[in-house]
Amino acid sequence: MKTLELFNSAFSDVNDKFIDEAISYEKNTNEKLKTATRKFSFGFSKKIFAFYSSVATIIIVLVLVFSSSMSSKPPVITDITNQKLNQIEVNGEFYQTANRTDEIQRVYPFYELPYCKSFNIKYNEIDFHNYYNFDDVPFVVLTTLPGGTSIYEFNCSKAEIYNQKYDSCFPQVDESLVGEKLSDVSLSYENLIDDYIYYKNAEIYALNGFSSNFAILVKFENSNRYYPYVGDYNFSSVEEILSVSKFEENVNYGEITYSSVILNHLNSFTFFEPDKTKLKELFFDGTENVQQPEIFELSSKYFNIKLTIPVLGVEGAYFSLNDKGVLFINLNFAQKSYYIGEEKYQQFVDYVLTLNCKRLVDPNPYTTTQSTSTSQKVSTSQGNSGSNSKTYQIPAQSTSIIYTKRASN
Amino acid sequence: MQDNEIIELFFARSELAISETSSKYNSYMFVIANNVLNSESDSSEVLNDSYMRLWNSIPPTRPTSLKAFLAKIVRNLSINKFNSKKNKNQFEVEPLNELENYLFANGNGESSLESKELTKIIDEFLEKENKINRIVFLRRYWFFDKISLISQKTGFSENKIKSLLMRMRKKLKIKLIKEGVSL
Repeated sequence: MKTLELFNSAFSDVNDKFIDEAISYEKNTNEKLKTATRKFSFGFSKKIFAFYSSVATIIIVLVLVFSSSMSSKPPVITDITNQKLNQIEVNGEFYQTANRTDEIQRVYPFYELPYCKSFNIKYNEIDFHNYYNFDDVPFVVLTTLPGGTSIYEFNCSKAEIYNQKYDSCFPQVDESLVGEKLSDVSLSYENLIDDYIYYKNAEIYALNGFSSNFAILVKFENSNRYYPYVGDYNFSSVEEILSVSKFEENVNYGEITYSSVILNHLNSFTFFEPDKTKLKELFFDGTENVQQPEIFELSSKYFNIKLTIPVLGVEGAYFSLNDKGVLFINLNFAQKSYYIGEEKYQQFVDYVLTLNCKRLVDPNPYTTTQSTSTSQKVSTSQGNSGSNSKTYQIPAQSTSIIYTKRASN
Repeated sequence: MQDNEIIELFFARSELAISETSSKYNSYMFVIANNVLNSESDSSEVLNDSYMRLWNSIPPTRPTSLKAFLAKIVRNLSINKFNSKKNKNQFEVEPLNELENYLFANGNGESSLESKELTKIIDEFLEKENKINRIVFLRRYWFFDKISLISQKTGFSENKIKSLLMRMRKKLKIKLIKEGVSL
């Protein structure tokens, strides 16, 4: 292969952290540099200002070095595993995520891509995670930033114990679930603020009722809490997922959502409080006979069913059932899809329509001109980069209609 | 919406994932494409292809940084598009030429290296540089920013940026030669 082509391809794949660094710099530094010069030059020429500012910087650095050596207190981030997902404590200070209440209520703009209508997709056994290995540390816990740059975006940690990989999203479990102690380990974690790796001791316990190959508990030094970590288990079938994770005992189903365009408006329907037994019957009864197609057609008509498995620390997991009768399972630790049939889909729809429902309607009409061509939309929005076109604007207000539960016969 | 939530939407095969990605990152993606293609219509086409590529990639991939992942997709597709254009000589990507003309001034040898191995070498090179050098280098040769824009963003003079880039090109060339890359 020509070296030039090879170089271009290789350079495109440089480490994400360098790309992120260059992106964040674009966002943050410009303002800092400009305002620093503008605000603090006090009318002096740039050279004089630069000289005095250098002297001042040296003095400040010396003072800081002196004071830090006197106190000999390292920067401390408290046990990150004790943090709530939307809150982090650093050196006794609490940092809170932005209030996202309005986001929950808003209706998303409808954005139809012609090629999303249907195409084939293949699901295989998949490695979904990017792990990090430190050869000289037997146990590694690294928090990751799925979004890359903000301390608010972290949600899970990954662990590796003697070549076995585990995930955790931090909810703690009750002490009654703590099994026998398995080992003491030294662990490391990445401080999201200063990018340093810190080390901490931890104890590993069995999680009662589960194989330690699949799930364990981690108790961190100076903490009384036990955090479940779920293993990178290679599931061969849906039945295996259900039995190994003891799914039916432990799952909590949340809301069910469905989006559609009705009378030229995007409608989003949310159904509440589904019955666990009913969903079990619809999804899993007779699963031993279901087909598990490798290739199937996606559909634009589907329901998303939110679920959690608290005992395994699984939050934000989904089932997605489409009108072709295909059920996608995404439990964070396992992803599979299989065909339950269009008849079951119809039974599911009939059942869902008996539940309490909230409907949100996008007040902006969805018209054919808005959706005829993606490229048109892109070009109009980008003619003036930095300002969004109408197509992408989030409606300021949404219409909300509450439906009450039907009387059962 | 946070990036990890958008990724979850992709995993749930929800088309909202595309609209959320678009509303959050469309401008950003467009700028990357347009830096290469210098054409609004071509860049828009690349963006469409990028959404398709994204939809096909997640799952199975779960990117640690959605933004960087998107940038890579858009950059690759933009360069492919640029290379496929018949009349590409009418327009040149200045940063691309700058780098290629320096590194491959003596011709363009054949290499038996794998792309991954070369990426590792480039990563090592970048890792050893200080942060500001790295950022300037990437802004110029990865994002294809104009020198004037980098100057504006960093507060450095254009001459300083140019000499910094020249030093880095030299260092990179030495590194590649040391690692046995045939230039």
